[in-house]
Amino acid sequence: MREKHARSAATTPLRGVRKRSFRWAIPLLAGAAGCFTSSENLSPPLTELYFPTALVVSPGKTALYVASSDFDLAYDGGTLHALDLALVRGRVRPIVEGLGDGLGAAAACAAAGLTENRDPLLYPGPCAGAPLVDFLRRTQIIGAFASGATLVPRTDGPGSRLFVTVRGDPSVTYFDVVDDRPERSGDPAASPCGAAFCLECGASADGGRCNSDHLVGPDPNDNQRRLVLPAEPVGIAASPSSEGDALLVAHQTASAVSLLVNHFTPGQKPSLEFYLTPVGNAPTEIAAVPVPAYVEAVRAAGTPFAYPPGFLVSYRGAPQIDLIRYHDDIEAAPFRPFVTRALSVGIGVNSVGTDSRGIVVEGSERAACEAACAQTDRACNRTCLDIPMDVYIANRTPASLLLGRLQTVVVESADENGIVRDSSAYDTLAIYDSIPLAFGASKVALGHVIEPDGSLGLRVFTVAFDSRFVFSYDPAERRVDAVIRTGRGPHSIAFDTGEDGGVPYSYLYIGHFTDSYVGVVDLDMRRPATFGSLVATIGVPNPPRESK
Amino acid sequence: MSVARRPALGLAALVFSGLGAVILGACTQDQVTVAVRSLERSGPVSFLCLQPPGTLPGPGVPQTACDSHLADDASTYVIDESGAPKPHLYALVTQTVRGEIAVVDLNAATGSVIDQDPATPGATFLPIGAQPVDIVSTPGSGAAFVAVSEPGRPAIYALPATRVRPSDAYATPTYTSWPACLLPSTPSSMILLADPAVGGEERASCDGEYGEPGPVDDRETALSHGDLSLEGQGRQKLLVTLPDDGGVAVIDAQRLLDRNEGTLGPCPIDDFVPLRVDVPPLGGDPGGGPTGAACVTPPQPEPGAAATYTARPADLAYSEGKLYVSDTGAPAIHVLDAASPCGMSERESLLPSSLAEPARVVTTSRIAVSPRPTSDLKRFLYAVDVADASAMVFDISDDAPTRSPLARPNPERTPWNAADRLQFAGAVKDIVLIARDAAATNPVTGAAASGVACDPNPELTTCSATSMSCDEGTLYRTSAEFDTGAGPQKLRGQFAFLLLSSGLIAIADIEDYDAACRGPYLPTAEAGCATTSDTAIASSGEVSCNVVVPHAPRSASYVVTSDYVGRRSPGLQGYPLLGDVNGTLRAPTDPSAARMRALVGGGAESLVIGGAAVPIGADGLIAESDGPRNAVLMDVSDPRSHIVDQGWSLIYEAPLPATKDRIGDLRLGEAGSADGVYDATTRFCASGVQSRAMVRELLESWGEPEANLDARSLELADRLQITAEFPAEKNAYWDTAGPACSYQECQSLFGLVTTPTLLREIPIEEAYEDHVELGTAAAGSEKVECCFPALVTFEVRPEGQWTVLGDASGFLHHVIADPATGACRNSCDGAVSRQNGRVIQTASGLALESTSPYAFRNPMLELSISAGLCSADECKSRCAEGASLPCDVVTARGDQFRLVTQGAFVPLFVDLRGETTDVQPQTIGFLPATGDVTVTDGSLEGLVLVNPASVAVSRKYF
Repeated sequence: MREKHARSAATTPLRGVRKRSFRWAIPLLAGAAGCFTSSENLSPPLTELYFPTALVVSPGKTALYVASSDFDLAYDGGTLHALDLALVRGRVRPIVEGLGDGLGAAAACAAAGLTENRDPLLYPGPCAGAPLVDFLRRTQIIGAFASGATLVPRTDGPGSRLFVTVRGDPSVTYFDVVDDRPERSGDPAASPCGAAFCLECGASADGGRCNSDHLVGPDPNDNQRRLVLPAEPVGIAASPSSEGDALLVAHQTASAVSLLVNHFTPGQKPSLEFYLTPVGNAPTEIAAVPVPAYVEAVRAAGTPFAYPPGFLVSYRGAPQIDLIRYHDDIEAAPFRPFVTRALSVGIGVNSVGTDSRGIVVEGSERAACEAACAQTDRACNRTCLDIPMDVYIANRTPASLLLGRLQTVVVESADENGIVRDSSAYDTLAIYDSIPLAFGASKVALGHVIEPDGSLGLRVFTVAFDSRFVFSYDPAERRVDAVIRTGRGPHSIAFDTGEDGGVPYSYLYIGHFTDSYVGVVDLDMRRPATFGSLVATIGVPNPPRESK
Repeated sequence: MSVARRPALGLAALVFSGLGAVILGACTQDQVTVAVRSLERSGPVSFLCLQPPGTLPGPGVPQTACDSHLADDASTYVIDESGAPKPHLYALVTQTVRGEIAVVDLNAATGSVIDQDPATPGATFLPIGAQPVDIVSTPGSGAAFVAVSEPGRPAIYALPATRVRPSDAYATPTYTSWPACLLPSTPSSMILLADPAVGGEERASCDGEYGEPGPVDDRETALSHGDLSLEGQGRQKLLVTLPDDGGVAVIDAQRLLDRNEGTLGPCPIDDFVPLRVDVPPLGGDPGGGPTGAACVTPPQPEPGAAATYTARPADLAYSEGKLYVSDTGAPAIHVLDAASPCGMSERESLLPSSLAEPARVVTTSRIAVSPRPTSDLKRFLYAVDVADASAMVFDISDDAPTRSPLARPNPERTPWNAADRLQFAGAVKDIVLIARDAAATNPVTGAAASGVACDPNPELTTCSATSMSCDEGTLYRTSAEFDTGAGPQKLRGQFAFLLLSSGLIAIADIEDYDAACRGPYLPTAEAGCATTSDTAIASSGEVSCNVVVPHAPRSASYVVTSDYVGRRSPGLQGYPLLGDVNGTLRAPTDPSAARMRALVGGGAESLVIGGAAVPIGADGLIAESDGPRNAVLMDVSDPRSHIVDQGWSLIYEAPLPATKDRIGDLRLGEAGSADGVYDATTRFCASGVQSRAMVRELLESWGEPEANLDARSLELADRLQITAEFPAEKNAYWDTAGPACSYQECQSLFGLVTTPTLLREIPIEEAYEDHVELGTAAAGSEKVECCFPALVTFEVRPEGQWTVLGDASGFLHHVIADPATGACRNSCDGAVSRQNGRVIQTASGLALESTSPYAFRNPMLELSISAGLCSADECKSRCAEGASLPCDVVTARGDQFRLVTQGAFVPLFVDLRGETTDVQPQTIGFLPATGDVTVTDGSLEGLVLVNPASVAVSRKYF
C-alpha cells in the first residue's frame, strides 16, 4: 500500500521522473526569437509611451502599469511604466466635473491645468495630452514587443508580482511590485523596494534594464525539464494554487501553451515548467477559470476532491476554445507540474468562427453567492455551483462578441465503502450566441459603469482596434449599450473604479497603440455630458514616424 | 416611360477606402485592406411607401401601393397606366453604431442608398439618438418612429414622411431635427397598434372621448408634421416595452409626431401596462421520469419553490387581437387582450421551458406569430430561447392543449436535437413566419385558387386543357420528372424563416399545402407513415412519410433516388466491406469472414446501394451471383435522422474515442481508494464506458441465463488499456524499484506501447464519471503498480464487441451517471435510446430479428454482425477442444467493416454568405409589398432581400 501524500524526496527520489513518461513524447520546441532585430544602444524613452500594448491597474487602484512595445524597433527595448493613479484621477476629476457643469472644454481643461485639445484629428478628447512625467513614478526597460501582462497577488501574505509577456526575448519578464490591497496596507513587506511604487526586476536603478534573473523562458537551465519558452508569447493568465500560482501563456506562432509556476518563497523564482503542443492553431489569449469555493470547502474538510485549475484559450487560427487544466503533480517528488487539454469546444455561432482574440470569464454572480457562504459551508457553496459563469470572446472575423456559458458539474461516486460522495467536478462550455461589433475586435475585459442610480453595473468592454471603438455590452440587458469612440489604435484596456474622497468614480483607460498615449474614458452614467467619451489624455500623443 | 420629378440626388455613395490596418503581429504579416460600405452594423428596419416629394396632403401611401418595379434611380418615378407616378418603397435601416437611419430606395436601380447631404463626402444618413433598438412605420407611411436606448437619453424619434428624403425645403437633418420625446427608461421593442375608431370618431387619448380633441402641451404643434388620422386606420398608438419598468407603455403616435423639433420632453404616455409573472414552479418530478430495465432515470430536479420573477419585457408580436410579449427576466411569454391598445388586460402566459433541463428558467427574446390560421385553424408562436439561442414553438390557438413548447413526436429518431426545440449550428437571432402560395391555374376554369392542398388520391380526376371538370388538388402533384409540382423549393403554405447568426436562414415547415403529396407510393410503417395502404397513391415516391414535418427543418431536396434527382434517399455508396487491422480487404465471398446483416422481420426489404435499390434476403444479406454481400437497413421513418453523408467504421474492439490518450492516476492497493484509475477530466460515463456491473445488468435484462452472467459479463466488460511507456531502461528508477519488478520483466510482461501484450488490459468492474474501478489485473496488481508508477496514459476499449464510429457523428451511446450512485449506466430516456455504438457479435450464420435485444440500431443504421464460419476441419478440431462456438471464426482485434452512407437529409437554407463570410444577420421580416423576406446585417451587407419563390437572395443594399 502506498502513501503518496507523505512521500518524501528521500524515499522516492525519482517519482517525478517516473511520472514524466507520457510527457517525453511531447516534442520540444526551440525557443526561436523569430525575425526581430532592434536598434542597439538606443535606449527607449523613459518618460514617454511608445506603442503601448499592455495596461494593468493594481488591485488597490494606486498604480497603472503600462508596457510599451517599441513596435517599430526604434530602440533597443520596450519599457514598463508605473503611473500614479491618484495623480491621474486628480487630473481627470476637474475635467469631468467641469464638463458636467456645462463648462466649455477650455475652462474644464484649465481647471485641470491643461489646455484645450488643438489637434482633435489626431486624438479625441477635450484637453491636450498631459505629459507622462506628471504621473510617472517608476520605469524599467524590458525587451521589445511586450504583448501582455497580468498581476498576481500573493494569496498567503503580502506580495504582488507583475508578469509581462515579451515577444522579442522571448520571455515572460516579471516584476515585484507594491501589494496595494487594502488588507495589506501598512505591512512593510507589501513593498519590495520600501517605496509606494516599485518595479523590481533586477535593474541597477530606476530606468535601468531588467536583468536575466527576471526573465523566465530564455534559459533552459532555469527549469527542471530544461525547456526554453516557445516563440511569440502573447496572452497570459494566472490561477492561484496551493502549490504555486499557475500561469499559462499562449504562443501564437508555435501552436503551444506554456506553463509557468510562480512561488513567492524567497529565493524561488517563477519557472517555466511545461508546454503543451500541439494545441489549436495560433493560440492568442487566455482566461483563468475561477476555482469554485466549494472545492476549497471540501478539501478543507480533508476530503479529496479533484478539480484542477483551468484556463480557457482562444485561437486566431482555429474555430475553437480549449479548456486547459493545470496539474500540480504534487504527489511526485520533485513535483513537475504539467497541463492537459480537458475540453475543446467548436465555435459555430458566426459565419467563420476562427480568429478569436480576447477572452474573459465572468463569474460575479457565483462569486457573490460564494461570498455569502461561510468558507467551510459545503452545502451553501455547493448551491453556488449551480450558477453558471459567462464567457465572452472577441472574434475578429466577422467582428463579434461571442457569448458562452461555463457550467460546473459535480461528480458523485461511491468510495471504497460504497458511500456516494462528491468526488470531483468538471466544467462544460457552450458558445451560444454572437453580438456584432465593428472591424478589428481584439481585447475584451470586464469593467463597471456607474449606473444612473449610483450603483455599479457590470459591462463587457470589447476593443475594436481597426475601427477605433470600444463597445460596452450590458450582460443584463443583453445588448450593446454604449459605443465609445477612441483615438487611433485602441489596444489594451484597464479599469479604475472606486471612491475618491467619498465620491464614486469609474474610469476606463485605453492604451492607444498607434499614437502612444492612454486615453481616459468616464464611465459614470450620471454624467451624460462625459459618459462614454474620452475626457483626458495621459501622455502627449505621438503619431508613428510614417504618419508624421 | 419615366419622368424626373425632382432634382437629382447625388450618387448614393459606396465608399471603398483602404484602411491600412496596423497589425500587432509579427513582421511577416501583411497589411489588411478593408473595404468600407455605406451601411454598417445595421439593425431593425421599417418601410415607408412614398409618392414623389411634394405630393399633398403628404407623400405617404399604404405599403400595399408599392411594388418591386425598378426606376432608373431614386429621383425617377415610373408612370403607371393611369398616368400617376408610382410610389417608391423606402427602407429605413437603423445604423446601430452611428445612431443613424439609412434610407434605401428599393425601387431605384442605381443609387439606392440615399445620401442626405451630397455636399459631404460619404453617405450621410439621418442622425437620431445613439443605440437605436427598434423602428416602426405607420400603415399609411405617414411617419416612422425610432426607439433609442442612448445612455441617459432613452427616447423615441419621429421621422415624418416628408423628411426622410433630401429636400430643398429643409436643411440637412441633424440630431435635433425630429419630433422626439424622452422615455422613462430604456426601450426594448416597439409596435404600432390602432385604437379603433367608433362611429367614425377617434379618441386622442385612451381616457379621452371619441371625437374630442386631445391634450396638447407647449411642446406640441398639432399636425405640424402630418396627420396620421388621414391613414384611416384608427388612432395609432406606439406600444413600447420598457424592461426596467416591467411593462408596456402606450404612447399616442400623433402627439409624438406633433412635438416641436428640438424639444425632448417626457413622452406623452397614454397608458402603462405592468406585466405580471404568474408561473408554476419549475423542476421535474423526483418520483417520475422514464424507467426501464437495466437503465437509470435521468436526473429529475426537485420542483423549485414558487419563485418570484420580475418581468423584463422584450419583443412584441400581435395576432388576432392578442399581444404577445417575450420576457428576458421570467419564464413567461405574456399574452394580452389587445383588441384596442387602450385598456389591454393580461391573460395566462405561455410557459417557456425545457424538457432536457426542466429546472432551467427559460427566458425569451425574439418572437413571431403565424400570419394566418392553418387549415385546421391553428396558430403558432415561435420564440427564441435566450440561453441557448434555439427556437421553441407554442400553439396559441384557442383550443391549445398546452401552454408549454410543443414537443416532437418520436424524438428517438432525431436525438441530435432537443425534442422541444429547433436547434441549429448557429444561434437563432430572429424569426419570421410567412404565408404564401404559388397557386396553379385550373385549365378548366382559368382561375388560380389559393390555399388548395395537393391531393395524392389516385381516384381523383386530374386536370388538363380538355377536361370538363377536375380536382384542383391534382394540379400540385409532383411531376414524373420532378420538375414541377410539389417539391422542396416550392413554398406553399406557412413557413418559419429562422435567421441564424452563422449567416444562414433555416426554413421550417408549419403547414405545407403539398405535404400529402410528398411521400412513398405505398405508405408503410417503416416509412414512418401514420396509416398504411396497399394501394399506391399519386405521391412523389419519396421514401418517407416524414419528408415534411410541421415545425421541423424543411428538406432542400426530394428524398428519393432517381435519375432526375440523384441519390437523395438514405442508402450506401457500396456494399459494406470487411478488412483487417491493416486495411487488407476480405473477399466478400469468403465464408470465414464476419458478416454484417440487415435486421430481418421488420418489413423492410431493400437497401439502396449506389443508385439502385437491391433486395435483402431472409438471411439479412444481399444475394449476388458470386455469393452474399453484407447489408444494413437504413431507417427512413424520418429522413432527418441521417444528418450527414459519412463514412462508418465498425471496428472490432476499437478504443472509445473520448478515452484515447487520457492521463490518470493509477491507484492499486491504496488506502482510501478503490483500485482503479482516477481522472476528473476524462468523464468515463460521458465517454460511454460499460463496466462489468453494467454489462451484467444488461445481459440479465436481455434474458441471459443467470448461470452465464458472471462469465459473459466479464467477456464483454470494457478494458482499461495502459498505453504508457515504462521509465527508460537506464533510468535510475529501476535501481530503486526493488525486487517487485525490473525493466526487462516489465517489458516481458506488458510489452512496449507499440507491441503491447494483453496484460496491459484490465477489466473495468465499475465505472463512474471520474474514475473506473478495476478488476484483477492478469499480471497482478503489484506488477502493474511497479511497472506503471502513478500517472499513466490509458484508453478504454470494448471487449468482444464491434465499436461503431461515424466519421461525423462519432461514437454514439446513452450512458449517463446514475443520479443515485454515480455509476455509469444507460439512460432510460427513450429519446436517446437509439444512441448506440456497440455491436455484440452473434454466432456465424445467424441473422437477428429487429426485435432481438442484441440487434444494433442507431438513428441511421440497423444491423447485426455474425461471426465467420470455420472450415469443416477447423470446426471439428475446435469442437474436439470443447470450444463453445466451435465453428465460429475468432474475430481479430482491429477487423473492421467500412461503409459510406449517402442521401443524408439536407436542410433547406438560404445562404447569405454568397459574396462574403463577413455576415452577421440581425433581424428578419416580411415585406408584403414585394413578397420578399428582409434581412438586416450586423456586418457590411446592410439590407438583404430574399425571394421566397426562389429561396435565394434577390437583392442587397449596402
